[in-house]
Amino acid sequence: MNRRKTAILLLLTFLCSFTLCGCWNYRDIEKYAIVSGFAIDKSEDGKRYFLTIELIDFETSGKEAKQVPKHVHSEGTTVFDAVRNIINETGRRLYWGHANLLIIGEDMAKEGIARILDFVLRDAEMREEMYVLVCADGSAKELFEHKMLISLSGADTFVNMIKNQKSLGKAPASQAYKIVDKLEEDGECIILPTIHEVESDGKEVAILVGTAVFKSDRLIGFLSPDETKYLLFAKNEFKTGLITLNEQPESNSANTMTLEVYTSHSKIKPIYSKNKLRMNVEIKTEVAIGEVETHIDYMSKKQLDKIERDAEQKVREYTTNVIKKIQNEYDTDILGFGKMLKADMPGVWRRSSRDWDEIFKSLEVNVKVDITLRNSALVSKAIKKKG
Amino acid sequence: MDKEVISTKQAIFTFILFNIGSFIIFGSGSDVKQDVWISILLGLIMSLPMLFIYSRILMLYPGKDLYDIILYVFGKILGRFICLVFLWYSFHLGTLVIRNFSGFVNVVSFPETPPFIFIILITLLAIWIVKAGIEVLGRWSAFIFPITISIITLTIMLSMSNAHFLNLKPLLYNGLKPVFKTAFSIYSFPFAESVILTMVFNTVKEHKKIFKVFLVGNSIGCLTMTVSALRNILVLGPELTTNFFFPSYIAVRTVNIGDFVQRFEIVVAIVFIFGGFIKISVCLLAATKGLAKLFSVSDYRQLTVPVGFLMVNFANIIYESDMEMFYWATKIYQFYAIPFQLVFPVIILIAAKIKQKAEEGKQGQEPQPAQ
Repeated sequence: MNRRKTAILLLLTFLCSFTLCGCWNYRDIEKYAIVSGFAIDKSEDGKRYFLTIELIDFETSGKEAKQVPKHVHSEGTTVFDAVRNIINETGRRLYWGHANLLIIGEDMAKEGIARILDFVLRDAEMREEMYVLVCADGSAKELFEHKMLISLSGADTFVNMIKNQKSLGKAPASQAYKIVDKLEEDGECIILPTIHEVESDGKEVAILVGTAVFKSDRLIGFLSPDETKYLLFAKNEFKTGLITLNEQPESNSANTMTLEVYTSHSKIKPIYSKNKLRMNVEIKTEVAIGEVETHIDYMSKKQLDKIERDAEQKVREYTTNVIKKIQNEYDTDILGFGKMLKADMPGVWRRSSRDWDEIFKSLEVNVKVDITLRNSALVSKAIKKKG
Repeated sequence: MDKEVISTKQAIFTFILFNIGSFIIFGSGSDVKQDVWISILLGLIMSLPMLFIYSRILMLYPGKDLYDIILYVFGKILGRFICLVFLWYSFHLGTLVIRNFSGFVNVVSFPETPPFIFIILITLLAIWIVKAGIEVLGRWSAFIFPITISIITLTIMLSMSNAHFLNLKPLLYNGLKPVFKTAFSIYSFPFAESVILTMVFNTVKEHKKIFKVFLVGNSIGCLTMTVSALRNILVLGPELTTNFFFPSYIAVRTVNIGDFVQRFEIVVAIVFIFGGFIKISVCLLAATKGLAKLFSVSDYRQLTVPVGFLMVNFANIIYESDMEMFYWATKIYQFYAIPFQLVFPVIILIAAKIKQKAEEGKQGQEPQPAQ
């Protein structure tokens, strides 16, 4: 009996040493390089993919470890091929679990982005909540190499630029999985935030500038940051931001006023009557007076009404203009009218989906804006100059 | 025969875990997109008559499992043949679940480990619990069920921050036909798979409540599946959901609350492993019992190890690729399963009823000449 027990114990020890040691193989963290973001361009001959990858390396100086971003490049016939070719340069395999930014070069985006997104979605290590950006004019390659203002890492900076648009509202946020869903779904085309480099203080810096407009998966144009703002107003993606009134930059007679948007909701309502389709865009916004550069008495009801009306007028005008521009210049349904139509009136959509491009172009759009002033922050009256 | 007893509660828990086990990770509904929740509910309704039949068969002969009943009703030769059919089904289903499990783990977390390792590890555990008996299985279910349900609830609540309710509209855009088609597929996997449990649930303590076990188990299972299918569509959108093999896993992956609550998708794998383990164990138990009955072996436990290892080998060779596995699971399985889930149970119930009537008649007649 005792001998049997010993035998079982030995056997168990033996078995456990196989099963409890964890996985099949092990990966040392030193043997991996952590990717924080990457950019895809076309190679110089235009046939291959050119990848720029930002790695986060750790350097120890004294007691502290410092994060140091490093940049590597590689080429390949497919994205995956280019990704693996990195080994030739770094000697390490890359770890993609922390990559949360993908920048697509303009040339690449013009040819279609669906084929790039496949790898992001398919690979188990890459995460599909990665943010996607388009680099306007030129290649995405250089963007990472500029010195960043706040953070050391370019990817980190760019991701924060997109994330913090929730208090500016001048660029759309888009994560890879949402883009793919929109690519496949009827009635909505995709928009992506755009980034490009400008010269500032003798140095090149990268800034976020508005929206890249796509038709199917091809880049066809851009919208400016201000146009983007009103596009987002219509799409119900505007969270908080500013509305400026009476700006007259040439006259320098400062009677400008800034309203801060607290909440904004919009609804796109398709209306079908007399065989004709119309779209109503209803925007409901709550604002507060954020800055007054001239003396006006906003305590009076009359003046308040005027401010509200002015703001409504401005939002309506700009939103209508953006929608017209999208309809006439780009003819791509980035507003999601088709999606709303399908959701609300599936019958009408079934009939019109085939030539939706034509219908969208000539669609009558009414924008209704309702703005409510909530408060005027800390100040009860504007600064009044003597004399 | 030794008497093993599990309580009604344990039976319900086992049933639910058996039900949601592999479905919750697979999702389904390739054709129906945003209407998949309707399909799931329809699948539940379609499975109700089957549940009634299964529980009826068990209630006719208290304390006997499906194999005993078949052998009793159809006699030794024909009965053994029908037993073989159900033995094959439970063996095959167990194998499929093992293969699903290894496929999932291999794709999402351990791409370099040979799938054989996962197959053999989970089967060893299943063999162990089956050898310990159904009582242990029941207690284990009761223990992990609350954990599983709280994980599912937690993931659903956290995913709601990315939910877009517009994704559910329009309702029934492609008509009812694809919805019914998918409902049929969901009816056969996983609802009507509960036929396996008729080979095991003769051990339920309160025999009269067997229909209640089936009904409550199926309803809670259905609710869980509906809610998680809705979650996938709300988060990922109707089109993208169909792109993935494991939509639940991806949907939870996208959760990111304040850069702090994130990357906990592996808890979905825990749910799958818990549920799948119960399913594998129940199938192994059913297959082992069947083999024991077929060859009149008194204690089925002796056969657990050989049957388990046969499953290991079979799971290893059954599919060449994961694509084949999914094609089989979503396109072919529903038709393959008809005889086991529908035809044979109905025949058995009718035959058992006739046999019982005849016996009652005999009992009624016998006292007469004595008078």
